[in-house]
Amino acid sequence: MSKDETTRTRPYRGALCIVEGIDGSGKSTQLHLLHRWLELEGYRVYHTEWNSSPLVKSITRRSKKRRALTPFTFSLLHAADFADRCERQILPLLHGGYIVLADRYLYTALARDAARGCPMSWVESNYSFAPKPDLALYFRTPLEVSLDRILRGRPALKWHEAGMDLGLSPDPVESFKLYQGRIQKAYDKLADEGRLSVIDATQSVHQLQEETRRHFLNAINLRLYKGDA
Amino acid sequence: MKPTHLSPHLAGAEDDADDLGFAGNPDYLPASIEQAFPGHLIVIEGPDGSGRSTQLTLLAEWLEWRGFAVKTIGLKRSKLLSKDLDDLTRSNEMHLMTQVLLYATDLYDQIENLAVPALRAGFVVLADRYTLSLQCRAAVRSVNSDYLRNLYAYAPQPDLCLRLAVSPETAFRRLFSRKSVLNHWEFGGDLNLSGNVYDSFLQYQANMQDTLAGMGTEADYTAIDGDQPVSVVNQTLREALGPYLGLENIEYSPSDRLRNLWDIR
Repeated sequence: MSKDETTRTRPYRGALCIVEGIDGSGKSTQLHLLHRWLELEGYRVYHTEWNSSPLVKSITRRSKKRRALTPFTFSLLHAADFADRCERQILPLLHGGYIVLADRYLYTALARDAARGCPMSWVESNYSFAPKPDLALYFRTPLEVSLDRILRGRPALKWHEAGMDLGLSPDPVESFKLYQGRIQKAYDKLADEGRLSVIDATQSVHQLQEETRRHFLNAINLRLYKGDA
Repeated sequence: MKPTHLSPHLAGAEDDADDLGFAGNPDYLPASIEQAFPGHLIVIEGPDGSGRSTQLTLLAEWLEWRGFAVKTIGLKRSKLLSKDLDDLTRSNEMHLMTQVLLYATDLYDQIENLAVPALRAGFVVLADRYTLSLQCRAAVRSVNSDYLRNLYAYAPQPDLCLRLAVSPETAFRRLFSRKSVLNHWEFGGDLNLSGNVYDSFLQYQANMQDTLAGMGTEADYTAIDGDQPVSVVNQTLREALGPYLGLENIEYSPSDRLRNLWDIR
């Protein structure tokens, strides 16, 4: 049995749906469309992003800019950001009976921190307060496809985004490729363990949204989330 | 981040990325699990008002006088976070786990960037509180102790851990000798122990002592009676430290600059 296998008994009324995937996999577009659809249909829904805590976000941004982080403090700062959102945003919304859509979740931390070489059991435990998702989708594309999508539209990669702190290559683009490759492998492993459901993200945006909604309707009983709580 | 933080294994070999640490085979560790540093990590624990900081100031002077290079670390002192943590503590916006994790970030930043390099270089690192205080503070607020043990699993083990035990009444008197009001954290204001701040303070200090005592079995520390005058406590601390550092003669009297500390009661 996988770690995230749900018992269907939750201490809250809400539902949690999360998406994962490397940069350029299209996951954010898909989650945005899912959000719009639920909103327009009148469901109680909230969209949240990785690394967006009003308390921690600016600290993380500044520390990254100064390149002041080690793999450990990188991991812990992101965990603190996540903790703040869990405590003051995600959990209250779930208790209030909302559908919470999360663009990236703790699997992002597991994959990125693994790529940086942090001990996995340590990271897992640090995030053990995270509510288990009702649906965890992994948008998988061949590496070249996502790299192409990302690198075409963007001239300069940021230091951590390119994984330059891993020392894999002095060339940012090369480093980015190697770093994303590592993250992809980590996601694949999580999918093998049954913790993420894989979606083939090479399909067209529209096809992909149809498949995303199918998964969503299978996992979440929509009728519980109509109108005011 | 500096490249020195990377193990050669991580820096070079892409082939080895297959493992990704998922099998519990870490590439990166913050050097804290090195078994033997040439330096010494000395931890002084104790609540606010126990005389902890006073004692550390005196110990640092004594050690330098006797020819030991000293580096001090503590809570909320990292270059990375100290100012932000001050602001956040004042704003009262941090909920429990956010606070636990930010304090951990603050300590690991000091461990990796200050303590470990100093220990490698043979310094005496004096910690003005360490993992035990943080674990205790969180445990009192019902954070799982296994969670906390894992969180600090990669902090270097102290060579010597001394705890200043102090009665809540003495701590109370000392706090008011240097400040005009108690802050929220000193009396456990978030725990709703009592509407009466004095009672809340006493109860919070007692809860902390109990929790600390409960952790005592796993953390090997020596309790020192912090109710005694500064000079007496300092003598006791030097008696504990001296033999450990190979000093037979532990005599000391503070410089003029620190003389005023000597007479604090």
